[in-house]
Amino acid sequence: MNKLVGEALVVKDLKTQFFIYDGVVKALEDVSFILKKGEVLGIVGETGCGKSVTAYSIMRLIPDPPGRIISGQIKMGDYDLIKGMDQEVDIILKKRPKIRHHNKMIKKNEYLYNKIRGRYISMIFQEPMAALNPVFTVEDQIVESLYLHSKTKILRVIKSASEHISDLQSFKDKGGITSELSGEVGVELQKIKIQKKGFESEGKHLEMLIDEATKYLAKKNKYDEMLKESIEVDSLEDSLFGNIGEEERARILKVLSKEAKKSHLTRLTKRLKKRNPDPVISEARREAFGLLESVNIPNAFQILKNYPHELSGGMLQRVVIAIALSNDPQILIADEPTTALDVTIQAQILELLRDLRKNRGTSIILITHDLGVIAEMCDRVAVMYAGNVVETAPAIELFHNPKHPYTIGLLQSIPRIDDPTKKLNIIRGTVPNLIKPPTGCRFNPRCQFAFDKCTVEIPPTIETSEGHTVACHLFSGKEVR
Amino acid sequence: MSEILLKGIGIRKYFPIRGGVSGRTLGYVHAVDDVNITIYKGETIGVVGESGCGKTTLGRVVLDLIDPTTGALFYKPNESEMSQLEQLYSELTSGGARELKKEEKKILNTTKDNIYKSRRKKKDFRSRVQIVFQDPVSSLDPRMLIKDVIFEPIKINGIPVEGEDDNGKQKRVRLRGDAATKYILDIVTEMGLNEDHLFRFPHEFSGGQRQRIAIARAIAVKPEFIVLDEPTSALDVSVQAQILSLLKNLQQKYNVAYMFITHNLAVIRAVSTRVIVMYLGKIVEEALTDELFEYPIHPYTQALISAIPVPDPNFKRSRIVLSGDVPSPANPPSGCRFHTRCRFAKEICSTEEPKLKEIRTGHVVACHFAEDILKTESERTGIKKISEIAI
Ligand SMILES: Nc1ncnc2c1ncn2[C@@H]1O[C@H](COP(=O)(O)OP(=O)(O)OP(=O)(O)O)[C@@H](O)[C@H]1O
Ligand SMILES: Nc1ncnc2c1ncn2[C@@H]1O[C@H](COP(=O)(O)OP(=O)(O)OP(=O)(O)O)[C@@H](O)[C@H]1O
Ligand code: SF4
Ligand SMILES: [Mg+2]
Ligand SMILES: [Mg+2]
Repeated sequence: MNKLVGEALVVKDLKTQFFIYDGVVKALEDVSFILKKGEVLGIVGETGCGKSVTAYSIMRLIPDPPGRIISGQIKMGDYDLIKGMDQEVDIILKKRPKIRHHNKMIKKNEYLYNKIRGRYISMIFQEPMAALNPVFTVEDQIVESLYLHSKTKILRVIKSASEHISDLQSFKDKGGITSELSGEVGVELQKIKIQKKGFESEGKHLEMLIDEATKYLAKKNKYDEMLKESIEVDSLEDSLFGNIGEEERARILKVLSKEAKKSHLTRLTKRLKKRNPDPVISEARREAFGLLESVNIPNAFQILKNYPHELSGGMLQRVVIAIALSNDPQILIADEPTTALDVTIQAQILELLRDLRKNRGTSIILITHDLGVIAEMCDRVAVMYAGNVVETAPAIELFHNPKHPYTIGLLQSIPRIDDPTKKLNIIRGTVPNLIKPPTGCRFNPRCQFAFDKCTVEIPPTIETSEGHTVACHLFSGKEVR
Repeated sequence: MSEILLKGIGIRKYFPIRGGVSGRTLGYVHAVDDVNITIYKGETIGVVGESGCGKTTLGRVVLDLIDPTTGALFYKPNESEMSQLEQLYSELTSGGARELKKEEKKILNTTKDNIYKSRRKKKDFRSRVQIVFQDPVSSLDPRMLIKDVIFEPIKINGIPVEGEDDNGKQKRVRLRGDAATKYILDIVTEMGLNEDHLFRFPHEFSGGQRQRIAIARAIAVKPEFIVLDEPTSALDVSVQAQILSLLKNLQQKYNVAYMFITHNLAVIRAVSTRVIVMYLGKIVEEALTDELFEYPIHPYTQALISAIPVPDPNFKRSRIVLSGDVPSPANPPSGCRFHTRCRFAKEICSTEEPKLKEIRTGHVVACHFAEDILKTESERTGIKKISEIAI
């Protein structure tokens, strides 16, 4: 199968709502879009329009209560990520109108979803502080994520290191990585070299690798067995997304939830605290170190030992990015990944995302309000307004030929560095209340082109040209939805 | 220039680095290192610089939210104090950057009216200033309704009204009941939120909405000075424009001064009157906004300006790429802290620290080759070209 053909993720008619005291917040109303393999899809829109809720829905991290995915599909391959959820809502809607936890079901799904969340989809959160645990050091949090999701890779690297242990030793003696090695450890060394932090850091990496390799060799049988098991679990997970029958999928899910339970957190925390950790943990630590270097945090070794509140806003954001990238996910959702970063570091992070896409074929959903970033990064853009996708188009097309009145307003309100005297344009009115959203087109109270039809009828989504869709009564053409 | 609102002198903030088993102090992170800052009444001072260069720390220190390692801060200093301070300052810096001597520290710390030292001043000062934190999640109490979140500072400090009380202090009224609710509602509507939002909890909002709540809370008590730490970075452009113009209106109405910390140079250009560029805890360039964007002199400022993303996919730029690694503030490079990444660096840069010098009127730069850069660049291309790179 060609890796870069087809769809990485299909979101269809997604409807997410929050049941709060004042009423029901209709945060998402039939959101549909497609993320192609290896592309960067931008999502833009006013604050409160549902960008983060879309991301959280995909990650299945909607706080429940008060939130619920009411209906829709989120498909990765043949696997519908919210199918199980659908049934839960059904039960609830039929028997009791109130929102209630269905503990057993949710828990079962939770274990599993935890696994899917690191290895297949991962997310860079908008508010880094909320994504990190204040009582653990940065290192522990990255190691935890690596341990849960990348065990196979880690074991492979150590194994390969144990086969090249003499080479590693000679590099260390010579004071630098002088030649290339084959195998996983070679790839790792290459990465370390690219980060170009001088020998001090290279030396640290080498030292740790040698140490791990020695430990591996001491208990070779045990770790070989561990690796074998881990590979089996991974391939089982991979098969989930293929075209297999429902029964087969249910069986795999059962096995995997058991597996997920086994490596549950409490045990891990204990292991982290050990003075003399097993090689898997110390390799995870080494990778954590490398990850922080790759997001350009100076003094990475020391920062690892810090608690989140001791870092600056931009450093926190980079730590969160490092965690999201740690497991080489197939889909990356980046929610405002560079808001706290200055332009030079922003440029470096965007470069990192570009590399990720190029080298690993990662598909990226990039949520941002910075249209400059969208212009630089994205292949396609989806514009959201009040819980609807109102326009999707290739990036260049969107900037030069915006169709929806909201998109036009959005593009006009950018403060331009080249023309500071230009008055900041404002779209008049305010974001609608999502408990009682306007009837018809949700943008109609603020739209300067609105006519009578707009207040009564929800506009269909129309394809005006190849790959350019818009949901507005001003346009006519082939209806796609 | 208008009246001085705040003057900070020789401000340093070092954070200890703990390590080892015993938690010994291994060294210090030089988050802010010998910064002098003046804030005038009713102005907007923009602060830009790389992530981790000490912007937030500086903002917190000038609001007296954390204690500085050294330094003095004066609120509305009068003329005679001013000249005394200036003199002290020039004495202190004449020998280049160095550790302060004991007796010099003493002078700074005993200078009367230093806010850091006077408890009485502290209390009054704190009721006149506000901050909008960089991370709105952690700054809003999750168990409070939005209404109470906004009401809290009003409850504590009251709202300033015309006139002075018997002690010559600003008169304040405390609002209660319906009057308070109406007052809060007015502010919230101005921020583009509505009545139902008042009875929700912070976590029920989107990132941008939370940020607006944080701004509403800060402006509710009509302070004289607000530190806005990345206040619009979670907002989309249209709301951002709305908030910026709202902040501008408030400034005209109440003559409030802002310290605007952001990495977004387009925003800085749109709102601020003066800009400070920081690098690794130090100010490297300071000028009026138009001046800075037209004649960016410090090599770091030039690189910053050339890296701004432009909302046009067809645009091709020539970026000044900063080579080299970001140095650590725990162990800053010798001489000019920027020399490891500077494209103009010569030998002297790694040994001698450049002092802030006035290169054009009101435009100070800390670079050994500031004059040369200004001259050569303007001869070769007309220095305006540098800012045009970004356009
Ligand atoms: N836990 C919750 N309870 C109630 N309402 C919620 C909750 N979370 C989000 N919402 C509502 O859902 C809507 C969409 O929020 P979302 O966070 O997706 O916005 P966003 O597009 O990410 O905006 P921003 O750019 O400001 O981050 C908002 O109106 C918000 O008030
Ligand atoms: N409480 C603390 N303990 C230890 N170190 C700290 C603490 N607060 C800040 N620092 C360190 O001080 C330096 C400056 O931090 P600061 O938050 O001021 O940066 P900033 O310029 O605001 O960056 P950003 O743009 O990323 O928010 C950083 O290296 C940070 O790690
Ligand atoms: S002093 Fe030297 S190193 Fe520093 S900015 Fe100027 S030229 Fe560059
Ligand atoms: Mg959001
Ligand atoms: Mg900061």
